[in-house]
This record gives sequence, structure tokens and C-alpha cells, in this order.
Amino acid sequence: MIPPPTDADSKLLAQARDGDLSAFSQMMEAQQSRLLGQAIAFSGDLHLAQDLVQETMIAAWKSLNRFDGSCQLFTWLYVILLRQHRRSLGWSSRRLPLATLKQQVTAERRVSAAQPGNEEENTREAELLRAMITSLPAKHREVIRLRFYADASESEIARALGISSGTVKSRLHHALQKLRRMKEKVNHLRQSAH
Amino acid sequence: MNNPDPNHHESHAEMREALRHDAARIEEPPFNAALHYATIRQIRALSATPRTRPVWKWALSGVTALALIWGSVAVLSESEPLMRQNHRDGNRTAGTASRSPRATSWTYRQAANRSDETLLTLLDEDARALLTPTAPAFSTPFL
Repeated sequence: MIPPPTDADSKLLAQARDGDLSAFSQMMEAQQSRLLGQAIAFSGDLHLAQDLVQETMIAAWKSLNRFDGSCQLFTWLYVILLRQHRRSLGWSSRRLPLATLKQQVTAERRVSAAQPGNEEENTREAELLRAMITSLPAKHREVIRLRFYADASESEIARALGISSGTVKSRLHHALQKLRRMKEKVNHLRQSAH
Repeated sequence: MNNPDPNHHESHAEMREALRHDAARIEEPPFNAALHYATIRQIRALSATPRTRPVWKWALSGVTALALIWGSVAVLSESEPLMRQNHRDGNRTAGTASRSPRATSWTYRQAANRSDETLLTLLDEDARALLTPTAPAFSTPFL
């Protein structure tokens, strides 16, 4: 359920749409930390993340009239952020090949031999999971990040992407299935390594 | 596109849990004022730039192209009597082009899309194909 925008939010949005940059600045101030945190998490690079957040804000200003309030402002901005990231990767590196997962498992074995411990294991698991998400096709990656990382509901994702809720459900299902299969492959690689 | 069976959600419970767990690990950095205000300054600068700039670019490219074509025609029409005279005198007109320009209006448009410099280079190449190397166009700037 999307929390209804407050009167102050609506007023700021209306002012920003009329070209009031200080109103837009106030709106973005509230979103920056969350956007930056997400960008750092999926790009793995602080400077790239800062560039992405900057490009996202510029793109948001240019297309503010297209934001109709049918989803949360953060969800709308997050979609822009994901697309800026996708554009920054270019065609060649949009998907992570399985070979990279194999390399990651090999590297992980070396690290685990050197640094045993729960925290390191959690970090490795997180890195592996994010690498697996990166290896998904863009449309699947998008719904996974929106659903689980931006915490958007399926209907909100549908509105933010301009697709039906059924398509969101379907993409989520296929994305989760692919992630599960990749995890199984990784587990198999781990077992065969021991 | 086939809609998945809602019961399949159960089979992805472990993966959903792993994703939620990972999302919860993401830390939000403190507000970066320098980044924010640099972005706002950039937006202000972009807003101050007239949006009609591409149209101006087109207009400028068009005017440049027309000026060059007009100049080439003018130079050709001026040099033609001289060339005829040279021919009558039995002198060889060194380097007089007999070829037609290589570019079409489409390639001119493509070049203009790329940049003014590309367009000017193309026009220059064609002018060199059409005119004598000693033509005034190569020694006197048109613009």
C-alpha cells in the first residue's frame, strides 16, 4: 500500500513541476541517501554510484512531468537509477557470464581458507547473490531490485514500469527461478571443489 | 506471457529470504551535501541553456552548407570563362575536376548530424573535387 503523499509533498511536487528548482532540491534531499546506498550496493563503486545518483536527479528533473504520483517517488527514482546504471554498463557488460560465477567461487575458496568466520561468509554470500542478480536479464534484474531492494509492491512496480501486475508476477517468478538455479549451480561447484 | 502459479512462490521462499536479508544489509550513507548541491547547480546550468539549441545547430549547419555551395557555384561560374580561355590557348588546366561530388544530400545530413566539423570536412572534400587547386575558395575564407 502506497502511503498517500502529504500536503507538503504534493505542494513541493507541484512547485517543482512549475520549474521551482528549490522545491525539487528539497524533494531530492530526502531521497539522496537511500538512492546512494542502493547505487553503491549494486554498482560496487562509490564514485560510479555518485555519478549515477547525479544523473538520476538530472533525468528526474527533466521528466518530472511524467511522474503522476501513482507510485512512491523513491520507486520512480529507483527505476531511473537502474536504467542509468544499465546504460552506463553498455551492451557488452550487461550480463555476467556463468564463467564469472565460477571464478567467484574459486576466489571465495581462497578467501575462506584465509579468513574463516561468519561475517566474511555473510559478505561473500551477499557478493555472490549480487553477482547472480547482475547476471540476470535486465527486465528480471529490474523487478528483483524493485521488489526486494526498493521494497516496492507488485502493483507499484507495475505502475512504475508501465506494465501489468501479471507481467510483474511472471517476471518475478522467472527471475527467482533463475536465481535459484544459479544458486544450485554454485552449490554444486562448491561441493565438487571439496 | 504465462502467469506463474501462485503456489510456486513457496518454492522461492529461500531465495526471497536471502534477497530480503541482503537488502537489509545495505547501509544508507549520510547525506552528501556537496554531491547534492553540485547536482542542483548542474540542473540550473542546464535549465539556463535554451532548449532550442539543436534547432540552432541545424540552422547554422544549413546556412554554412548553403554558403559553401553558393560560394562553390560562384567560383565555378567565375573560373569557367578562364578555363575555356586556357583551353583555347592550348594550355592544360591542371587539376580541373571532371568528377561530380561524392556526397549526396543524405550524406550531408548525416554529416551535419554528427558535427559541424564533419559537415565542413565533407563539403571541403567535394569542393576540392569540383574546383581547381588554385581556386580562390581555397585561399579566401567564405565565412
